[in-house]
Amino acid sequence: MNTRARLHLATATAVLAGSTAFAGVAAAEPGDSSDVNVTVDIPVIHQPGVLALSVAANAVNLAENGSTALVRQFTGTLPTVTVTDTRTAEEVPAGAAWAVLGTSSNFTGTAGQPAITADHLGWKPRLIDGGETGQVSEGEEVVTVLDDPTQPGNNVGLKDQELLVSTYDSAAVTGGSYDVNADLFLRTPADVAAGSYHATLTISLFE
Amino acid sequence: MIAVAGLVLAGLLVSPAGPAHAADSYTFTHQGNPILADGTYYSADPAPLVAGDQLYIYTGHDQAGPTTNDFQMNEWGTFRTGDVQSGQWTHFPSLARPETLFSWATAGRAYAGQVVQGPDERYYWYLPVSERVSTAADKFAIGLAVSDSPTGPWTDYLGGPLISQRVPAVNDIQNIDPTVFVENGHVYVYWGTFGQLRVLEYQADMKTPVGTQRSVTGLTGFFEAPWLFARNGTYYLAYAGNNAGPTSLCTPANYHACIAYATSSSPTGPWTYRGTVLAPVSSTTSHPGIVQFNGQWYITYHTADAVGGGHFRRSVAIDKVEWDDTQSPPRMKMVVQTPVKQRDRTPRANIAQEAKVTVSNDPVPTQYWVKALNDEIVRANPLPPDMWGTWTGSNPAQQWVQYTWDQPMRIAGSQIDFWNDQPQGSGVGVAAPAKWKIQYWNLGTGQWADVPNPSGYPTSTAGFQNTTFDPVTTTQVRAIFDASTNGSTCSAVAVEEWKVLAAQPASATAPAITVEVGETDVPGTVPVTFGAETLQVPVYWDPVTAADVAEPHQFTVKGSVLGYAAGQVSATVTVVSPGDTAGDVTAPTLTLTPSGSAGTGGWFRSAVKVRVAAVDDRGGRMTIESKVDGGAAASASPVRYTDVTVAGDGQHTVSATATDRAGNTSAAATLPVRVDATAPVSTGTVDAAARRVSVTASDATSGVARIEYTVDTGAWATYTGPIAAPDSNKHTVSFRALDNAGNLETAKTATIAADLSGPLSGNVAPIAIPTASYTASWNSVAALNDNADPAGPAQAQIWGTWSGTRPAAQWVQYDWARPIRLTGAELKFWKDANRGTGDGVAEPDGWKLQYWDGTAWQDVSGGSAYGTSTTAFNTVSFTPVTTSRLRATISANGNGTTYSAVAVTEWRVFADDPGTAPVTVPVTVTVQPRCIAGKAYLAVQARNDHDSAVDIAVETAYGDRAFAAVAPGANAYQSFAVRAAPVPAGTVTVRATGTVGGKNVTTPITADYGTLTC
Repeated sequence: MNTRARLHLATATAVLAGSTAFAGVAAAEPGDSSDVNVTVDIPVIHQPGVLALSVAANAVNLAENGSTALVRQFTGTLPTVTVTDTRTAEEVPAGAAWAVLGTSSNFTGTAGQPAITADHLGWKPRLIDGGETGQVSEGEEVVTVLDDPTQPGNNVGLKDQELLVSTYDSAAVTGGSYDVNADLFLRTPADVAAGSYHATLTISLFE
Repeated sequence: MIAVAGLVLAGLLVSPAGPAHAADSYTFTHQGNPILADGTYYSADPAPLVAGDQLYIYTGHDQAGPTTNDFQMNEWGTFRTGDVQSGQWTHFPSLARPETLFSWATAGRAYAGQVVQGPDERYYWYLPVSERVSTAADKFAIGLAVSDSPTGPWTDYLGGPLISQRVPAVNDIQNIDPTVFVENGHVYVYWGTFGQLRVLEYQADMKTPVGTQRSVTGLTGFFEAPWLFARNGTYYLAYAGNNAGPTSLCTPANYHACIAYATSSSPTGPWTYRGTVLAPVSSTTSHPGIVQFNGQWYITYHTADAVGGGHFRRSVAIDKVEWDDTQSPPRMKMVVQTPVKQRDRTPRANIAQEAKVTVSNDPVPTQYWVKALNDEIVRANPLPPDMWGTWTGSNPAQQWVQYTWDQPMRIAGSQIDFWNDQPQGSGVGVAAPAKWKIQYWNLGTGQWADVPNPSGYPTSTAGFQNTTFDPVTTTQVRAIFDASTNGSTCSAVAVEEWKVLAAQPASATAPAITVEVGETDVPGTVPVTFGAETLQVPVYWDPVTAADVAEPHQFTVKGSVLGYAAGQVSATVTVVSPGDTAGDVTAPTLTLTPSGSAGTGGWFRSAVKVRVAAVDDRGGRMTIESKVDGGAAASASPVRYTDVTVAGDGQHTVSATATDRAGNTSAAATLPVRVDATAPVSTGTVDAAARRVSVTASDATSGVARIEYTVDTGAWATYTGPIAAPDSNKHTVSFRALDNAGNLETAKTATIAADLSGPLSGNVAPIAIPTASYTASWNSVAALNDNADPAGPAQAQIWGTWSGTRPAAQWVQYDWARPIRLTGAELKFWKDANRGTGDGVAEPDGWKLQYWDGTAWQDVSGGSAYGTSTTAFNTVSFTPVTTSRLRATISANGNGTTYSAVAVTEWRVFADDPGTAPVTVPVTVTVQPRCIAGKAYLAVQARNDHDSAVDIAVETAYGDRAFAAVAPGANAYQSFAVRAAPVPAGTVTVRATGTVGGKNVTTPITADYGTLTC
């Protein structure tokens, strides 16, 4: 049997405040009779920085790996998610902290078999590049409804939004780019109906 | 008896006294007390004797000068009368002198004796004197003289003492104050002073002991002056008692004495205490003699009441003793001293004598008497009960005295008389204050304010110190004294007298007064006008007799207005008949006036007296009904006013009505009264780890206004939060609460111990606990490390060891809370005697420093020379040693037989210590609950402040996370999903593990977070 999951990825970008630059104005005093030198300085228009999210691919397949007599397990790796912040520290709102959350839809059978609910999909985020500050960290592991919790109450799967990566302080980590992926695992009862399933995992950036 | 040191050198030549004869006597007539009141002869220690139809009162003769505090008594005499009420007395001023009566006695010290008639009908006089030649430690002895007549001539019956420290048996008391009782051929002698009483029976020959002397017990507060007598088969032992204190039934102040008594069914006891028969008199000592004469019982005693009298210039008085025969055994009623003290109606500006006194140091130390403040008596050489004082073992920086009057008074000046026994700046004993000021209660603002434009606040102790100020109208005034200090300790303050002078009106005129027939108590206020202000000021009228008001008519009465110095005022008094009520349809009018210790916010800080005064148009007296709150109504009739006392914290209402002789009743008048007489209570809690003090306070009635605190000797500040120690030294935090009524709690203290964990350098003596092999009671071992080295230190500012036995060596020792690396020490000796004298305090032969190595004392090694200077510090450096105890052992100087004592003014010890700061991994933890996309997270960040990588473990209620090898300056950060809408407040724990000082250390750090709802 071969099960496939198709992951659609969506992004949301926070709206950032920008600034506008104005040209200076030259003036002449009344009563000056000599030659007038007219000069003007035109500054570079400043492009406000942005906080952005990108995902390296838009699909991943889960393959059976590590099934037992009671539970069947299918694993894969979330394509690398990158948070890029080109803002200056002054452009970051005071006290702001960005976070990336992910949530999954149910797995729908392509041949009419019953859906596998989203709480059967768990993940373990892995920080690939968090910079040197220690102020960017991956979210905690979320296990499935078939598991015992590994952190208080975390055996809920990805049915609601779960933390993939976040910073304690946006201003402290701006001007960098941070990469994270995650181990994905779908755990079902051994008597799950065979067939092909797919679900959509939505990754969102908040600040 | 008062122990007095010092010699008086008088330039008076006394010619040798010839034998005293009855012919020296003279007769005088004086009604009332003292018996001889003109100051020509002061007499003390009365002992009455009834002989035939005459009453004799034997006395000593007080001959001290007006400023001499000593019992200068050189002879004995007697007063004789056949009728006490007649006031006719014959005085025999000099019946005997010790040195002429007894060849073995010295002159002087003619103390309290007693004459009794022996079984052989002769008269025997038991007389305390001082033996001329005696090896006894105390040379007082009781001699026995005999005569065929109560007035002599007297001869020595024994040729030596009857009782002394050597005869008839050895004792160790002062053998004075005999009382003798003869009954059926048995002779009982009691004697003793300073709390020691002995009894011994003698045979009918008056001189042969029966058995041995024994101590007498059961006499509560016994001090001295026993007097034994019998009445109807019951034996009475009266005596001077001196059990003092605010709750004592005897006397409020030390030095003063009451006359107490006990009863027994036998002349030798056992004795049962029966209370007080005579309250303390105006002299410090009191001395009873009780006798029945012509069917009336009398008590003779002495007072300081004669012209020029004093504690050492006493005069004998006599008053009746009345019996309560309803009790068994019958009791003596409290003696009413005559003449009853009359109010001094001399016109004068002083108004202090009519004020209620409160003081900062309540209860006042029992040697002082607060009544002395405003008794208008200033003695030339006062004893402590002649003043108000504050001395205790530890004296605060400030004290105050407050006067409160029942009604507003206008005042403009003050006269104060300070007393001292130490100079200003000494910080010990009693000294004039460093500075002081007068405040008055501003009736408009309800707060204390400095009196305006004071002329100055002099602090001399030579007589009255004058202050004038712009007149103010007030009900209370206080003097605040800033104690004189040496920078380390404060002296006490003592005031002999404090007068407050009233402002003088242009004139004072009494309005016409109406009284009823039979009403001798003339209304006691007059209006006194100061500019636009008119005050009702008390007036003290000359006594009005029943004859003055026997029938309707008019007469004139004179009186003194309180504080009005220009002279007496006169008032026309109209006497009306109470029954003359025809046509009276007008009800009286009522005025309710509260008086008490006014506080802030309309509160009183004491029980409140509300005077309910009524005025009727006909001028007659009325019936006044009054009540407090919902209590029972009290009715007073016929009156012009009644006083209602409102006590108990809380809000009260006084209501009253007045009904005149015609039956017209006024409408009810009410007055709200708010009382909070209870100071708030604060509680301080020391957080030893954080080295700070938290203070809370509560007040049941008016509520807490604020808490004040001061660290060590700093200024008081308002408390806003925990008080942290300003540095690593030991600090004393004083705190007190103030309530909304103005009650200020007596300050409490909390001590923050020194933080010795850090590096230590310099003098570490102040953080040590000093002990010594011996410390004289007048010295202080704490002076060693008080960090003060004043020039010419007082005895309390040095450590010293003088005593009767002075060993070859003494030591002082410092103990620290932890071992400290010490490098040296220095100390300065003190002396009052030269080397080689073997006495006093002298420069020592030498000294050495030793440290405790955990099991034994070891000499410090590499020590430099040990100097013995008394004028400069003797500095010793030694090889550094780490120890928690250091001892200086001092070898005393001697004369070959005895050693001098040693003394040290200050001992410093120097440290160079790296500190023992607890080893911790420095990590800064911040925690914040957050909302992301409508869900709660707990964000925890830990910054590595260490100089190398640390492992960080984060523990929360929502999950744990470990971070390995967090770089220096970098962070460990994790947001934990709360998975619930509101985040309750909580705590996270971060454990940081790193290498500190070569050791692997884990430091737990906790951080709190608040609640958050997303």
